[in-house]
Amino acid sequence: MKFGLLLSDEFNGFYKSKVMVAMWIGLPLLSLILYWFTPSTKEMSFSFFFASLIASFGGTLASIMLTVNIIHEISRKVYDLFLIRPIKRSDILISKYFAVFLCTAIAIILSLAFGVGLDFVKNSALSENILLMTAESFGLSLASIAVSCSIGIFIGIISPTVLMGIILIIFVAGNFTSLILYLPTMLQLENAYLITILSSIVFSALLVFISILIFNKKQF
Amino acid sequence: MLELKNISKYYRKIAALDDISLNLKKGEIFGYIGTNGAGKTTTIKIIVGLIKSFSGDYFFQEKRMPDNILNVHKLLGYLPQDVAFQEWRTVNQALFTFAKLSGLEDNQINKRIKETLEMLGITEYRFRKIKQLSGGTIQKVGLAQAIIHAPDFIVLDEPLNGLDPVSRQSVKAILKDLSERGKTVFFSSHILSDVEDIANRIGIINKGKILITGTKAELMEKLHKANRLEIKLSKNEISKDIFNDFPDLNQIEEKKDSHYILHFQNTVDLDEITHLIIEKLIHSGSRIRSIAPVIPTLDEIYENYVKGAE
Repeated sequence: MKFGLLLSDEFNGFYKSKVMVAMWIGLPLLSLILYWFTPSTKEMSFSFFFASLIASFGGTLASIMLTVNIIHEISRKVYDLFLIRPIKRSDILISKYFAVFLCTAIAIILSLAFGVGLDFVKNSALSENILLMTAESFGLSLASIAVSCSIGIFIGIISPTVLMGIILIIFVAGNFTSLILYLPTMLQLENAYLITILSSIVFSALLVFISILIFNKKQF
Repeated sequence: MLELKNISKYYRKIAALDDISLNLKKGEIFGYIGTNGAGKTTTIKIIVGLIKSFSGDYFFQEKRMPDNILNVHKLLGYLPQDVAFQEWRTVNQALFTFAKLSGLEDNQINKRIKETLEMLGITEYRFRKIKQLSGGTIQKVGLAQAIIHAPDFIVLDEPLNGLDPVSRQSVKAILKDLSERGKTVFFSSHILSDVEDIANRIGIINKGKILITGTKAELMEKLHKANRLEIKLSKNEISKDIFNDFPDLNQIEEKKDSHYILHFQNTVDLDEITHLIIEKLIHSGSRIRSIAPVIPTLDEIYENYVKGAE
């Protein structure tokens, strides 16, 4: 019950932030603009292009948001008031993780819905291929967000300053997420899609678990 | 209720706390005084479980800490030195969350928020965002979250910081009231008059060491400071030489016309000597305005202990 309260509180805090508003409204619009001005995209469906872009931008934004938020709250000693109450330290981090994951997932859903709508207008119908690609894109986007959020949590816990946190996110998070997402495909593994989804879940869970261990040991 | 035995805490090789021991009794207000960096906040963070690595023994209701820190957290209300909230929250949202996390039922929370804000005189800020509030009001919201769930054990780190004189008085009255209702209050301050006003017992810490703990009377006794008499007479009636003959007199301090402070040796019986002085003054035809022992202020006591330690 306390986890539920923390989750709804965190969600409440994140969805009202300017970054989330930018992600929910700005990213679909940005995707549309980029689609029109990139010649090589004309053969691509809107929904696939939007999902790929959102997964990339959204993942980076989500991880930066988490990192900055955690570093900021640790340095301002916001957690003191939580940690002296009868709750688990892990609940604080997990609720933050899922709040940002949910907010970013909503941004992806909005973008995909927008993309699917545009595909429908463009083609007067939706082919099975487009729907399949959209579903796959959605899965990959969620996997990407899951990995990005876990990296955001981890860097937030270990970084002493916001600047270092952002530098680490820019240079580490993007590369790591890409590695996990595209390695099975690059290695031409059978069931690459499924392996990507599973490895993303395992990697995220492991990184969140390590972050919790560090957070539990931390002195405030 | 709480006992710290030989607690030390080092940051790298610097001792923040050096072998301190103290105990708290149920229902008392314990004032913990010391300069900035003396070790007050480190002690408090160990008590509330924010610092878990230290040497020594810490017992709360006879259970060893920090292994059983949840036992403390179930009864605890805590105000940190620089209280901070998530900026997007309103006062109401913050208090609702903290009340619920502390175990209050949903149907009690609204009533408690209303009562607590009224008690602290900040009802009008209930639905304001915390980031829009002044420092003093944020401090009061911090106090509100510490007491909203009516905890049995309240730990406050510099609770009167940033408050105006009227608010200070009202917060002091609230702490006294909580103590009268059986709550145990441990609070730190470097403003000695605040501690003097409300604490039943006092602990003085300096450079990580507790110099002394006790009631103000005990502290005075240990300092042997109950050895002065203040005498006020009608103007210019006698010479101060009249006091010279009294036994155990160390010094006659002349404040202004016919206003003296007599310093005696620590072994003197002040009641006996007061009686003798009154007799002599009456015999000499002096008119006494007042005669009373000088009670040292906490500032004086503090200064003596800290200087003595250095």
